[in-house]
Amino acid sequence: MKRRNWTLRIGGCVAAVMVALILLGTVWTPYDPNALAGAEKSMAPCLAHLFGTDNFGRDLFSRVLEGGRTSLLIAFCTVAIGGVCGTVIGSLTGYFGGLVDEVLMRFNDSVSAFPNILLALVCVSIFGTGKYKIILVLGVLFIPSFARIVRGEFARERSRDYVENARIMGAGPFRVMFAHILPNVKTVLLSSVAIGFNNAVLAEAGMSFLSMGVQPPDASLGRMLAEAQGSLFTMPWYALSTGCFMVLLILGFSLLGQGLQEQEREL
Amino acid sequence: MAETLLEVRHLNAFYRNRGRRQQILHDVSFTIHEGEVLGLVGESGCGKTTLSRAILGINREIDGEILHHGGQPRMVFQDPASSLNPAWTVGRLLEEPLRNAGVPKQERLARAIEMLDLVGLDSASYERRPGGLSGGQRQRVGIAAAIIGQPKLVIADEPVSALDVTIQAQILDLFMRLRKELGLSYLFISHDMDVIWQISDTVMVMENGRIVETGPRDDVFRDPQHPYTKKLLDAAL
Repeated sequence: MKRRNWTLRIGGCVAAVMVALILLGTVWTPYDPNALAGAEKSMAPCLAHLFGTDNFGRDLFSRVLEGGRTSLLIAFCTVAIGGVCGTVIGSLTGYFGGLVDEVLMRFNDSVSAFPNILLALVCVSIFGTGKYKIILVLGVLFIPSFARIVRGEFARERSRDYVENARIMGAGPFRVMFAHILPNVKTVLLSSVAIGFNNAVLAEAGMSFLSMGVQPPDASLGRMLAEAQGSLFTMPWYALSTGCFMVLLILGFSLLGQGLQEQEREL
Repeated sequence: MAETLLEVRHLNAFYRNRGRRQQILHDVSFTIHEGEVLGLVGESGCGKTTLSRAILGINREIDGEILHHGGQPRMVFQDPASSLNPAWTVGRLLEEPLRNAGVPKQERLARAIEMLDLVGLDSASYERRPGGLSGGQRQRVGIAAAIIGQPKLVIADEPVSALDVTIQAQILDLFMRLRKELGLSYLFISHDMDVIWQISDTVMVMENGRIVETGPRDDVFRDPQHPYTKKLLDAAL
């Protein structure tokens, strides 16, 4: 009997709904997220404004979608850079081993010894803020964690019979690595992508909250939380709607990652 | 005399374990001729697998000579559950050696279907993954993948010892039929004297990395010279 993996299913649904909402936000929002409306300042949630409005009369639902889009874009690009580079480095070092492996992994350890967010803040204060710089900085900082996971998988897989068989059948080292071994570490890789995605959303939000991240006029969930902080008691819906949106986005992807890990264990 | 396919001369093989070099094979010499089945028998851990790996060129910690006169041999593994990539379909597995040799897709597909038929599998298996097949079917895929590149020599390392007795007989029959139909030679490795008796022309007995006795099957079984061979035969009866 196959046990149903509810973590995976619920996580997948939540993540899909959140991503769908954000994608919808790129083509349609109820109001222009940046339109000021003096008559509709600081309105509580109602039918016309689902999440209410801020102190400039901007529709919060539209702004949350807009901010979610920035967060999603940054997280996606960060994970793409970190995941691709990390996979390439991890598979090379895990498969070949030897001196290059030792040197790269010690370098990896020393980078991982610092908290990512600290390194990111240092980099940002050197290179400056802005959407694309954040992507680049976070992307590079995410490489070590992916490289370590992939390296471990490759080091384990390389001694298995099917790898030896692939070599006997005439596959070169790159074909063995990326066509034969990679599909077998896919589940592990996917769950670390989901977890990495979460970390990227959080890192971006944290940096933007400290106004070291995305700069106006780009909306971002982290910036909105920082703005909401000032009116926590007069307009609680501002912080609540933004916060809940972020929580759901992260919850969806972390359940997805956890579900994938469970799936991997069952195999 | 038939053409010589493989010559192994004074082969010593080593295994490196945390920097310590340990000798596994000691001065191993033998030849395999075209169409011959050489049965290699010995207890597990005596160096049979090290020998097959040295012949295939996977273990390079060797000295001595290994001469291939009939091209690169192919290999059938003991456990097809671990030697066939679980993430690949049967069709892709079968076509892989041809793909690496640059054979175009249409021809690869035709050959893969032909091979499935030859080893007694349904052509619908092409789309399936090894995990969805039975142990016997999986070993048939393993055999098909080994012979699709038309090697002259196939090395079979304990190819039936992971299987049930009835399936064992079927797979042995398949080996014998393929030999007849394709004129293959085997280096057939087993710890099981019954299996060796059924399939071999020549028998080679290995103990602790040394060849202790070689000869035509009937001679070795009827009149064993070395005490280790006698011991193996006694244990099998």
